[in-house]
Formats: sequence, structure tokens, C-alpha cells
Amino acid sequence: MLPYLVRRLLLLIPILLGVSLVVFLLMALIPGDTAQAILGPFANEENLTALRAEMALDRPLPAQYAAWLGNILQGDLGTAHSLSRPVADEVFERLGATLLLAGTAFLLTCLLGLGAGAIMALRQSTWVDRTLTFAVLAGISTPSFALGLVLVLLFAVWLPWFPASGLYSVTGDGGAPDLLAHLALPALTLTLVTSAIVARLMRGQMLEVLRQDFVRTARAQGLPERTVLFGHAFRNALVPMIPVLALQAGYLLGGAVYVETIFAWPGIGRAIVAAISTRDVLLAQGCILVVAAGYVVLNLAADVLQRWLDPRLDR
Amino acid sequence: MKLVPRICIGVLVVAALLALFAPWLPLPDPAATQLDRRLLPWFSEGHLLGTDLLGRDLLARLVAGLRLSLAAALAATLLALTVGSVLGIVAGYKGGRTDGVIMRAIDFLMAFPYLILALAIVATLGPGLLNGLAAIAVVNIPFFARTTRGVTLGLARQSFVEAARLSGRSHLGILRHEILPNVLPTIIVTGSTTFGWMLLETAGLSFLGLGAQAPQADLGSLLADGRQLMLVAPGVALLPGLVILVLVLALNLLGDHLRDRLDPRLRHAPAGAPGAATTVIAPFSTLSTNKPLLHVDDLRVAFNDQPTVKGVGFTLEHGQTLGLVGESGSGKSVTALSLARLVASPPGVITGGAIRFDGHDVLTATPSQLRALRGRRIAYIFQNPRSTLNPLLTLAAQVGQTLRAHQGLTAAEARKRAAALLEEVGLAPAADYLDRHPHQLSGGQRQRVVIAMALANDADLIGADEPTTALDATVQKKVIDLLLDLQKKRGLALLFISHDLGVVKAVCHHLVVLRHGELVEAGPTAEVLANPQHPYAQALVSKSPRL
Repeated sequence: MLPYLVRRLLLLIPILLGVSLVVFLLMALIPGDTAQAILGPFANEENLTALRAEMALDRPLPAQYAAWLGNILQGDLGTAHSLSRPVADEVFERLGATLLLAGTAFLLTCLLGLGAGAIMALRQSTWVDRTLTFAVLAGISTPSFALGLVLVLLFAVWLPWFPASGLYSVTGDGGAPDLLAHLALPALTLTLVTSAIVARLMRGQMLEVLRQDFVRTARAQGLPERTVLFGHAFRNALVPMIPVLALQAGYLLGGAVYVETIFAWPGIGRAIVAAISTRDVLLAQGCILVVAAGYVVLNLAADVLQRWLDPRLDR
Repeated sequence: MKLVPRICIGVLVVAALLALFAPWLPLPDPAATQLDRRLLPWFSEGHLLGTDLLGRDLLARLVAGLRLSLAAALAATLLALTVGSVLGIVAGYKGGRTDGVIMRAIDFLMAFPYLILALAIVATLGPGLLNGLAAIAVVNIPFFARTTRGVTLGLARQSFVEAARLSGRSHLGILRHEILPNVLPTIIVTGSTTFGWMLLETAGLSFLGLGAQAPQADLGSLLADGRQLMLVAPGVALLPGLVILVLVLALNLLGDHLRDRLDPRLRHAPAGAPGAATTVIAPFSTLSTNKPLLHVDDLRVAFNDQPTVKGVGFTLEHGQTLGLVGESGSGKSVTALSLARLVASPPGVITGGAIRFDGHDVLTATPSQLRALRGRRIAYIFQNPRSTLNPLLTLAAQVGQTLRAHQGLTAAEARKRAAALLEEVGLAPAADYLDRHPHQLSGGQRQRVVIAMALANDADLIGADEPTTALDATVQKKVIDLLLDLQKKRGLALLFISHDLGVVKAVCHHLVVLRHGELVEAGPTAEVLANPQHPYAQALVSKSPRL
């Protein structure tokens, strides 16, 4: 396991370099004057010249990439012209809010998706299965931006149980109860689609495992049905679900963009949308780079977890 | 055709027709504002769905939005499909370095969270419907590339492609005439399943204000517009959302239906996941409560209403071995599994007969009574050692769990006892095996683990289904000697399933010959083998070279 971990961590370096290259190239491909695009339409000539020198914009692309990467490795993501503050400060301030939202939604996805999928498999072809199957398909087909609005209407307007917006910072004065109240609707909106996808795939996995010989072996040993279903069937069905769950984490990070917009959540997704609308290239780039790097690390963690759970992969 | 797919097709056809003929429909201009007719309710005169904040007709805007959304999703699908398929076909056909370079590039695209990459592209190109749909198309390219590459890879190795290559056809010619026609169905199926996502994602970008720009409005921008009016007129926002939901749901339902029809594995899928015990229909017991250890009478088992075991009966005493012989499919295994109600159900159902084991009526037993029998009084050695062990658990855990379930041992005690059992079946020293997983063992070693599990709780009856078939000759003999030794020491009753008449002759006191689920011959082993009455039994005996 340890050599594998070291190998995977080393492999992380080229992947992260590749991701940074894609992000860099996307910015380099912006039509027109890059310095102008970065500093915005009202930049003066003096600042433009300084920036061109700092980012090596007058030199060939490889040199530009090296300069850009060097700055990033020192924690310098540039300055967001729309906010007049360092991109790094803005990104890390908002990262916490997004991680809280996406993390909660991810936990809910695991609970709801894996749970519903297992129940559907155990009740296959009954009304429970048929109802859930339709609900799952409806969930997959639902635009999360419309779902968010419906939930606001239902649980913030008609039944004023939860606030629809108004969270300004995660570490505010309201404390945990206030934070949870604000978290409820966004997290629910975000989790429904991914839960549906996970439930659908988990149902198939679980059905496959329940027909395996070793489940019959477990029953033949007189083990309690609870042990047979959880200790044997569920556990085996879970292993191939881990990459699926990692993929859903990626969808959650993307879906957070809609949800943060609807619920005015002070996260990184809303920052990306605002940055694109105001053509604040460095802010958009910084946000995207950090989210993508986090996703790469998360995928690594999923691979390691899967290998740890399934000894067959460890060869 | 069933009702649901019909409705889905109907919905999609209506949507497509509305979108196609939108400019010629008798509707007001969707962009025409009438400030004196703002926010009219539904069913207002001339405005079936009312008007929005600027007095624009909502029905007209909805139809126009539908047209734009469908067009954008279609364009994005075609773009992703074309680029992705070309990349996938080239990578799969050329292989080698080309394949490596293309697929690494695809991997880098997939290192990004789905929507985030699309946003990165829009950040470069700037907001707008065309840029948005291009971005959505790009993030879907990996999906098409990987699918078509897989299919092409399989095709490129086939003989007709090889033949075309040897006959001197150009690469382009082979791709066009041999590869493409065979990959096309996959491309079309993949494209139709992605269309729904494309619809969702392009509308999503417009909702964020990064897709269609005013005065253009697709379903997503209509939703965003309506959001401002959520409190006064929720319908303005919810209606476009509903339209998206209905369209995508129809696409997904139809896709599921097609997949079910095209995938033969799904079509013949069993009716449900097997439950804890075989279902029994009309159990009755005419058997006396005393006497033999095991008494099976007129046992009938059906799979999917097809009778598989048709009235089999026998008895078995302590210290005796009964051989069940017959060709595969004759109902031997099903008969043996029925003794502890372990026949997978569904699809299997015990439709009649009676099974009495040491005073317990198996067919009317409650789940907890069955659990107390299974593994404790009736144990099994299953046939296929490759699949009978849980791949994720160590041997200590697998052998130990049955000890803990029946004898209430602690984890440490169970481990100690498991070690003794493993050594008993020849896996010594046990310390080398306890923490291993099944995949680290040979087939013979795994079978011994299965045997150790069967021996764990001193069962009175062991059903052994071809216990030695997977083993080599010397191990085979050891295992059989072990079972016979236990029989002598503890009066173990053995139900021995085998097609190896040599083994059967050596170990079984009595024989039952099954054919097509019916008992055709039964009696003491020597008698049956020396003087078979039924033609099938005669054929069976005469075919066995060792007798």
C-alpha cells in the first residue's frame, strides 16, 4: 500500500502540471491584449506595461507559463481588477463556503443515494422499487436551477421554515444553528440530482452482488440477515461505487455554481460567474485552478480508498 | 409498445414540431413589449399564459425559448459527437502513440469537474449562446471519444478490417467503409442519451447569464428572468423549468426503455433479488415427528413456474452418506439447497412436499429457526470455490463469523478456533493464512476454506456439492478422508453430490439417481451400481469407465 501511495503522489505532479497548463492556455487564448483583459477596460498605460513585464507577455508562451507558474507556487494568483484585491485572498475566503455546501451535499448524496439504491435492489420489482425508480429518473431529469427555485417557493416563501439567502460568511455571528438553517435548502437542492444518479447505479450494483454465490454462502452459515446484507452485500456493492461517488463530487462542485447563484451563497461558484460576467480573467482563472486542483486530489483519495477497501486491487 | 414510451415519443414529437414551426404559429411576437399589459394572469384575452414584466406574451416566449434551447442542445450534441467520435475512431484505429496522445489529452479534460471546465472555456470566449454551447460540447467530447474508441478498438482487430488492410485499401477508405458503419449505431445511441444533458447544461449556462444574451432567450434565460418575479408570479419561472423537466424526463424514460429492449441481459433479468430463504407455497407435513435425521418427501421446486424438481423423496440417518447423482440440470444441487431453504428465491419456489430435519419442519420454519439450523446443524460445501468466498474479507473473518454467530465467541476466540479449523483442513501453519484474502489462494486452498467453514460448528448434516471437483487427486483424497473421519467420529450425515461414480462408490452408503428433476432410481450403492433398473441409471453406470 505504501509504495502505491508514494507512486500515486508522485503521479500527482504531472497531472497538476497538466491541469495548470490547460488553465493557462485558456487564458493565453483570450483574443486581444491579455494585459488589457486582465486589468480591465479602465487600466492605465503604466500599469499595463508593468503587468506585461511581470507576466513576460512579450516573451514566447513557454516563458509566460514558467513566469505564471512561478508566481502561483509562491501563492500569488494576481490581482482581481473587479474587486481590487489579491485573487488568492478572495479564493480562499470563498473556498470554505463552497466546501461546506458541497461537502454537506456529498454526505447527503452518499446517505440518500446509496441507501435508496440498496433499498430499491432489496425491494426489486415491488411498488417501492417502481416508485423510487421513477423518482430517480425524475431527479436526474430535473434542472437543479429550477429545483432550487421550487424549494425556495415551498420552504422559504409559502412555508417560511428556512431562509432563502442572506448568508454573508461561514464564520459569521449566527453560530451553528444559523449556519445549518441557511445550509438546508442549498444542500438539498444540490444533492437531489447526484443522489438520483448514485441511487440508480447503486441499485444495479447491489442487484449484481445479491445474486453472487458468497451471499448464499453467508446465508448458509446462518448469519443474521442484517450481517448478510450490510457486512457482505452492501460492502461489496460499495467498492465499484467509489469512483462513481468521486465523479459526483465533481458534479457537486459544478452544480454548486447554480445553487450558489440561486441562494446567494458566498462561495467560489458564484465568484466564477461574477468574474466571467465582469471579464475578470485572473479571478476566474484562480477560482477554476483551485477547484480543479482540489478535484484532482479528491480523485486520488478515491482511488486510494477503493484500493484500501478491495484487497484484490492491491497487487 | 407500452404506454410510457408512447407518451414520451408523443411529448418529444410535439416539442420538435412546436420548435420547428414556431415562427409560423399564430402567436404574438415574443419580443414585442406592451407596457400597458404587464403581468397579466393566465387565460387573459389574447395571452393564454399571461404576460411578463414588460408585457411580452409568455406562451410566445416559451415556444421561442423551446426552439432556441432545442437548437442549442442539438448543435452542442452534434459538435461533441463529431469531434469526440473522430478522435475516438482515430485513436482506436491507429493505436500506439496517436492513441496515447489523444487519450492523455482526454484524461486532462476529465481531470476537471464537468461544469467548471465549461465555465473556464466561457471565461476565455466570453458569455454568449454560441460560446456556451461550444463549451458544453467540449466538456462532453471525452464521453464520445472514450465510447467510440472502445468500439473501434474491438473492430480494428477483427478479420474483415485486417482483410481490407491487406487488400491495399487506404486508411481513409477502411475508416469510411468498414469502421464507420459499425461504430455509427453506438455513436447515435450515445448521442441520444447525451442530448438530455446538453439541454440541461446549455439552459443552465443561460440561467447563469453566461449563455443566451437578451433579447435572445432560451428556456434557461426565461427561468432567470422569471426569478425576479418568483414572489408575484411564480409561474413565469416555473413553467420553463417544467418544460425542461418534461423534455429531459421523456428523453431519459425513452432511453431507459430502448436500453432495456436492446440489452438482452436486462430483458432476461430475474424477477428480483434473492431473499433470505426460499419461498414455500402450500407447505404441508405428513411426516412423523420421530425417526430419521433427514426425511424429504415429494419435494417439488420450480423456477419461474418451470418445475425443476418434481417430487423427490429420501431419508438419511446419522453416520450415513447418501449420494445424489445425475447429469447437470437434473436437480441435484437444487434438492440439496432446499434442505436449508437456500434456493435463490426469486426465481426459485418450493411448490410442494415436506422436509423434516431432526424434528424441525424446514418448510414452515421461521427465519430465526432457519438461521439456527443453517451453519449450525446443516452446513454446506459449495461447488465453485472461485465465487463462494467473499472477496473482501480475510479468512479469519469468514471462518470466524459463523463461529461468532452460533457459539457467541469473542473475536479473539473465533480467530483462535478458525486457526485450528484451517489447520484441520491442511492449511498449515494457520498463521500464514488467517489474514489472507481469497484471491491470494489457489482454487484448492479456497475449497478447503469452504470446508473449514462447513466444519466450524460440528453440524449434523453436511451437503457437499461436488466438493472435490476443483481439487487435484491427492488433495481430493485427503478431503474425502477428512469427511469420512468426521463421519466416523461424530456420526456426521453426508449428502454427497457428484458425477464421479468412482468417488460415489467409495463413500456413499445409498444412492439416489435423478433425471430431469425426477427420482429414477434409489437404493444401497452396491445394489444400484450392480443392477441398475432404470435405463438412464444403466446408461450412467455403463458410461463410467472406472466401474
